[in-house]
Order: sequence, then C-alpha cells, then structure tokens
Amino acid sequence: MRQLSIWLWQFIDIIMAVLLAAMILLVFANVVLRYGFSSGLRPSVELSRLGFVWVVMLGAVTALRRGEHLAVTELADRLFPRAVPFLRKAIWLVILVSVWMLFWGAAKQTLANWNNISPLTGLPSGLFYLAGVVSGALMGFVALFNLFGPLNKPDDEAQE
Amino acid sequence: MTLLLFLSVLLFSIFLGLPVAFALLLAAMALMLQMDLFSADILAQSMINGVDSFPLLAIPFFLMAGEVMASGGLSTRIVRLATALMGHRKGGLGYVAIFTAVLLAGLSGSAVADAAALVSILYPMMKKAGYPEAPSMGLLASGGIIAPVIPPSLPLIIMGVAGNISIAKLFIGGIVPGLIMGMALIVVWTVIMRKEDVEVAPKADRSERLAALKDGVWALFLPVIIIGGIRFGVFTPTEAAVVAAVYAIAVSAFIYRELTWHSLFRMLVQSARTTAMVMFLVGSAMVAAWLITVAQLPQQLAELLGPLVDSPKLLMATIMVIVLMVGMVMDLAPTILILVPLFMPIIKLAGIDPVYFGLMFVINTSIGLITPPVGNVLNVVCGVGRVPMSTAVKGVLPFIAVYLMLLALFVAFPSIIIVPMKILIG
Amino acid sequence: ASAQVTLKLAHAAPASDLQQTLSLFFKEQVEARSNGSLKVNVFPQGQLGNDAQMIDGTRSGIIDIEMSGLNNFTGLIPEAAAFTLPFMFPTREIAYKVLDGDVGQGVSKQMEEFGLKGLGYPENGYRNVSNNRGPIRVPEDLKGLRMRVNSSKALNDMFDMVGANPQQIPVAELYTALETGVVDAQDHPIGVVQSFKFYEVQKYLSLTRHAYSPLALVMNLNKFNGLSAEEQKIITEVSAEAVAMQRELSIAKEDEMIATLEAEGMMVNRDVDGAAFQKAVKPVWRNFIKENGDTLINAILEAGM
Ligand code: NA
Ligand code: NA
Repeated sequence: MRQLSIWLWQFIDIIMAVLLAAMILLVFANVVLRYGFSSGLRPSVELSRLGFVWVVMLGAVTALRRGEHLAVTELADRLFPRAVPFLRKAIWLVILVSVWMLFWGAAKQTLANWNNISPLTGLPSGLFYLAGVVSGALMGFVALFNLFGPLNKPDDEAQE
Repeated sequence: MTLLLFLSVLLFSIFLGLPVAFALLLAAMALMLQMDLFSADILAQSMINGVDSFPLLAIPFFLMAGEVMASGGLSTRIVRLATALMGHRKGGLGYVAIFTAVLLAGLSGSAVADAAALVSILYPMMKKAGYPEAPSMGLLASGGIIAPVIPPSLPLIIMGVAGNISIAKLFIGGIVPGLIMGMALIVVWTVIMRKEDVEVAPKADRSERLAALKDGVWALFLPVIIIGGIRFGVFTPTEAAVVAAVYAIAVSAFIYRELTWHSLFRMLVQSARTTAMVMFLVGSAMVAAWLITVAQLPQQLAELLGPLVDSPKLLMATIMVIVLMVGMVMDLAPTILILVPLFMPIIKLAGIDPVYFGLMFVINTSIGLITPPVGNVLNVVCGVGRVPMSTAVKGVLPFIAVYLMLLALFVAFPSIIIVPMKILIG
Repeated sequence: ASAQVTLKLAHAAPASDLQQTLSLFFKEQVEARSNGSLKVNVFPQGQLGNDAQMIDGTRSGIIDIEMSGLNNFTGLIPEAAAFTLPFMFPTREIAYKVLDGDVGQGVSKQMEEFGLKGLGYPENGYRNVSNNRGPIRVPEDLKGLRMRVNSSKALNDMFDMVGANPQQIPVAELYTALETGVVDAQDHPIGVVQSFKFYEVQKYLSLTRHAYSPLALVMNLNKFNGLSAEEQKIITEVSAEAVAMQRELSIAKEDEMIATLEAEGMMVNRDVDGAAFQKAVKPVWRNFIKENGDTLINAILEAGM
C-alpha cells in the first residue's frame, strides 16, 4: 500500500514533467515553423492549453498532499493553540466539500462534452474537465486520509 | 450586505488557517447559499475555465526559464556581473532588481508572470548576498506590478475593450507612469537600505568587471532576445516565455555545460508544482469572481456615485478608493471587466479623459495585486520565493504606501499622466 | 409560475456591440410583457466566460441564455459548420431564409439533444480580411501572409489553400500580435474590427465577405420547459423580434462602420474578385462533404433558391 502511494506520486511528477516539456516543445516549434517555414501547428495552442490545465490540476493534488497551498497559519497557532488540532480537522472538512464539488461538477461536464469534438485537435473538449475529475478525486482521498487520520497535537507540528 | 458576507467568510477562514484558495471557494459557496444557487457546476466550470488560459501559460514557462537560469549557471553569472558593477554600492542588488523589473515590464504584459520571473531569478541572489527577507520580497513584488502599466500589457488591452478606449493611446500613456513607479521604488529602497546593514562588496577593478561581463554575456543576451522578439513581432509575450526557457536550457546545456537530464527533470517538476499552486488559486479566484459578478455587487456600488459627477477630482478619488477596496479581494481582469463598463458613463459625463481614467484604473488594480488578503502577485512571490505570506505582506507595505501616494498625486494633478501622453502621441 | 424567475443572459461582445443592443431589448421587452414575472440580468463582455464556456454553462444551467457565434457549436453539431463555410451565402437574405426556415429549425432541434433551446440566429455579418501589406483583390494577394484565423476548420483550410500562413492566436492577444507583427492579417466581421480597435493596427481592409457569421441565441432547455406556456410564448416572440431588430441594425450600421474605419485611416478595398475566391476555395467544401456528408449543404442550397 505504501509502495503503491509512493509509486503514484512519482507517476504524477513524471506526467507533469512530460506535459510541461511537451508544451514547451509545441509552442517553440510553432514559433520556429511560423518564421522558418511559413507554416504552423494548428493544434499547438489548444494542446498546450490542455496540457496546462492538466499540469495545474495534478499539481494542485501534489501541493495539497505536501501542504504547499498558501495559508496563513501563524495567527491561529498563536491565538488559540489548543484549538488548532480541531481547526485542522475543520479545514480538511472544508477542503473535502470543495474538492467533492469540483469532482462532481467536472464529472458532469466531462460526460456532457465527451462528444464535443474540437475542430482543430479532433479531441473531446471533455478532456479539459476530466482534469478536474481526476484532481478532485485524488484531492478527496488526501482530504479523507487527513480527516480520519490521527489528531495532530500542535506540539508535534512545531517540532517538524 | 452580500459583499460583507463574502468578505467576512473569506477573511475569517483565512485567519483560521484555511489555505487561501479554499477560503475563496468557501466564500464563493457562502454567496451561492445566499443567492440560493448552490451548485457544483458553478465551482467546477469556473475553476477549470479560469485555469484554461493561453496568456497565463507564460507562468510555467517563465518559471522554467527562472529555474534553469538559477541552477544552470546563468543567474550566478548575472550575480557576479551585478555585484561587479553595483555591488560596492549600498543595496546594489535592489537597484539591479528595479532596473530588471522595468526592463521586464517592457517585455511582458502580465504582472504575475513578471513577478514570478523576478523572484525566481533575483530573490535567491538577494538572499545569498544577505539582504533582509521582507523588504527584498516587497521590492520584487512591487517591481512586478509595473508590468501591466508599461506596454505591452494585457490588462490595458482588456481595459481598451471594456471601456471602449484607444488601446494604442493607453499603451503610449502607460510609459511615463510606469517609469515614475520605478523611480518611486528607487526612493523607497534607498530609504530602507539606509537603515539596513548589508554586506557591501569591495569595488571591482576594470579587468574584473570585464571578465564578469564576458562570462555573463550569454545571460545578458536573454532580455535582448525577449525585447527584440516581442518588439519586432517574432513572437507573442506568451511565446517569449517559451523562447526564454528554451534559450536558458540551450545556454546552460551547451555553453556552460551545467545541465543534466536529471536536473532538467527536477526543474520541470518544480516549475509544474509552483505553477499548480499559483494557478489553482487563480482558478478559485475565478469561482469567486463569477459569483460576485452574478450577485451584481459592483452595480450597487456604482449607483451610489451619481451625485459626484459635478466634481471630477472627487469622483476620481472616490472611484479610486472603491477600486482599491475591490482590488484587495479580486483579481485584476475581472475587476476591470465588471467595474469599467459601469463607471465609464459617469466618467464621460464628468468630462474625465478616458485614457487617463483607464491608466489610473489599471495602476490601481495592479496595486491590488500586492494588497492583502487576496493578491495574485503576493501569492506568486510567496510561492516562488517560498516565504510566509506574513513576511511578504510586511515587506510590501512601505511600497504600497508610496504607490498610493503616487495615485493620490495623479488624482490631484492628472496632467502628470496626460501631458507626456499627448506629447508622445504627437 | 407566480414566483419571479430571474434569467442570466450572457454574451462575449463589448457593451458597444449590437449583441448588447439585442440583449437590452430582450431584457426590456421580456420584463415588460411578463408584468415582472420574468426578470433578465445581462452579462456582456464575457463576464461569465468565453464562447465555449458560456455554452457549457448554458447546457449545465448555471447560465440561462447565451449568445455566441454558431461556429462554437460545431464541436457538438459538426454539420452546423456548413453555415460558416466560405461563400456559403451569397446574400444576407438567403442566409436569413435558410436560418429561419426548416434548415435552421433542424439545427435548433439538434441542439435540444444537448440541453439547449434555440431561440434564433442573430448575426455578426460577413467576415472580411484586414492586413498590413496591401489590398486583397484576388486569392494570390493572401499568399505568404501570416494570418490569425479562428478555430473553424473550414477557414483554416481556406487560408491554407490560398497560400496564407494561418496561426492560432487568442482574440485577447490579437491586437498586440497585429501591432508588433507576430501576424500581419486577420479576418473578422466589420463590427469586431471596430469594437476591438483592430483599425489602429491594420492598414488595409478588403471587403472579401468570404464567410457569413451567424450567431446563435440559445437557452437552457430545462429552464425554458419549466416556464409557463405564457412565459414561453413571451420568450419566443421577443427573441424573434430581437433577432429581426439586430439583423436590421447590422445591415444599417455596416456602411456607417466602414465609413468610420476609413475616417480612422484604414484603406478600404471594395474591388474583390469574388468568383476567383470561390473557385480557389472549392476544395474546402469537398473536405467538408467528405467528413460530414452533403445533406445539410444541399438543403441550404435548395432552401436558398
Ligand atoms: Na508590460
Ligand atoms: Na489585493
């Protein structure tokens, strides 16, 4: 199980790196083609936008797991340290509700747009929303894990 | 009332430690409940659509360029050069940062991308040279928001469309206020550095300077490529970010030979992660913006302004205060798109020059990018520089104060903007 | 329905555009005729999203009514691209006849499969080419021009065929791209050239009228079906009147706008060899028929007789 999750996070890193590299190549190739060869890659803009959305939504999961989403924690820590472990749980609950809505809304749009084929790429525009489905589901697991995991004492956190 | 609900949910949850992106979503949900349209569709669609933007693609690309420059040997050479040239002066790297900010502003139209580039390239250098965290961060963030004022500028284009104002005139008119902003930064930085005790390098001699210049010339060539490329239409600002990344990779791989496949992979992952953190926040802001628009909060605001038409300066001052308040919680583009069409009729009625108004509005909303609680540039610099929000907020405060004084000055004496604009247009 | 229903109407055009005129007319008339049981809030300038996003939103019901170019629906209804094929409609009268007749109704019917109620087809007018090199009289004049083209496959094919170099640039970045010279040409209806101020960065406007650009006014189907019969009647009637008014204004204002563009310094070229263009782009039609069949094209041609 542990090995599986390590493997999953590595896999996400690799996908993000590959997508970003592909986006760089696509946009750069288009510039070179436009000036060097008087032509262009018709799908390059749309494909790089698609890659961008996937990088962002996958990266949001990584950021959630690593606690890298921007937050102001100093205030609560200082004002009511005893309440912090319970606040953390409440925070994970809010996150769980948010990402559930992301998952559910994006799933509906993915299905609704699976037959909506882009004229330039031939790909379903539902692929954009699919990023939200995958991201919402993965963030949901992260939130559940933290919500039902052990209650962290503020002291533990301070010693990290 | 609705605005109050939104703000209190947002601020309260941020202070309790909820990540800002989710605090925006929670505040958006509060609006949904209040308007009786609670819906996962709104959240999911606004978020994905907010993230799906070609101009914003410049963010990962500039981040990548910055990562490569930082670990591929370019940045160290620029540090060496900057130190050789200005290091003996007190706060030298800060002046380098201001100069770079104005230069970058002439290259790109996005404050967020510029701030990301500035922080990812210059912050590590400033840290290494022992500059205090907060003021350095404040300077870089404040430098980033010159980007939308000096052309090219996406916000000025949006402004031209939303307010039916000549974009060419907005562009030309933006040059002088943008430069004034840069000068204001120099003043603040000089004052701050007077009190600070930063290590000052011994003055480099001629041969040392030449050696540093020769070694750093490849890195210095990058802005030339970007400026030239955009000015002469070889590529768009978004594409310029990619060209910058490719150029940086090429130089560090083939000339400096400090790049490995493994480090390239690590940089890609790092840029992707930072991008995700920034853009997830942009997406959440878009969810909130969608609901603020539908709740028609700004309309209620504009109706109150009718009586001020007879005193243009007072009207201008009032609008600037409102925009500043909205800019505290909202992003630049939605603020422009929602408020400008509402203010425009009143502006024309009061006989205020639309180009002047457009520039003032964009300067104001740009300042909003670094004002807490929600400022995308603030978020970006914290994310990229990996410093706590409180440090950045502390750091930007003196710069915000001076920018606000500039704004007040421009309200009192519109000719500071209008006269040079008319001269440049001819 | 005794309770008041509020409808969100969205479009992506600037407030100075005729789409806003139509929206405000719609709002005023619907509110007046329903005695206040229906309320309409108008959101111009893409405040609720760009074209594709507004369509998604109207399908899911977070937006009630939206207006955007018919070409944005061709992902869902590929045949509908026939309306935007180059040189499909020689005159506006024919376009109106086809769009308001059985053929247009057929497309509206298809929209219902995707949760949309078609309310009518306003217009953006004909697309024309502007550029910075010189007047476009014959297809050869387009050769080598770096040209921004929208997402329509037919138009990309067309400009490819005549030797231009089609490029994908988002509308938001187009002004700067034209100004700096990333691209030297673009094609849009006159109204767009005016409201997006492309005349400031483009020297030549050639009235190529190479493609008709219909808009679609659509409503969320469930929302429409949830209204009382009386309210549905008001919506349908006001839509028809609003579309008719917008088309009339569109025709009336075109000459006016061209004159304004000339006054702004654009060189307007009216001498375009239409026949040569039609011949040059004939393969675009063949491509379209190969992919989508010729049912709709033939229906359009027949209906237009
Ligand atoms: Na700029
Ligand atoms: Na702000």
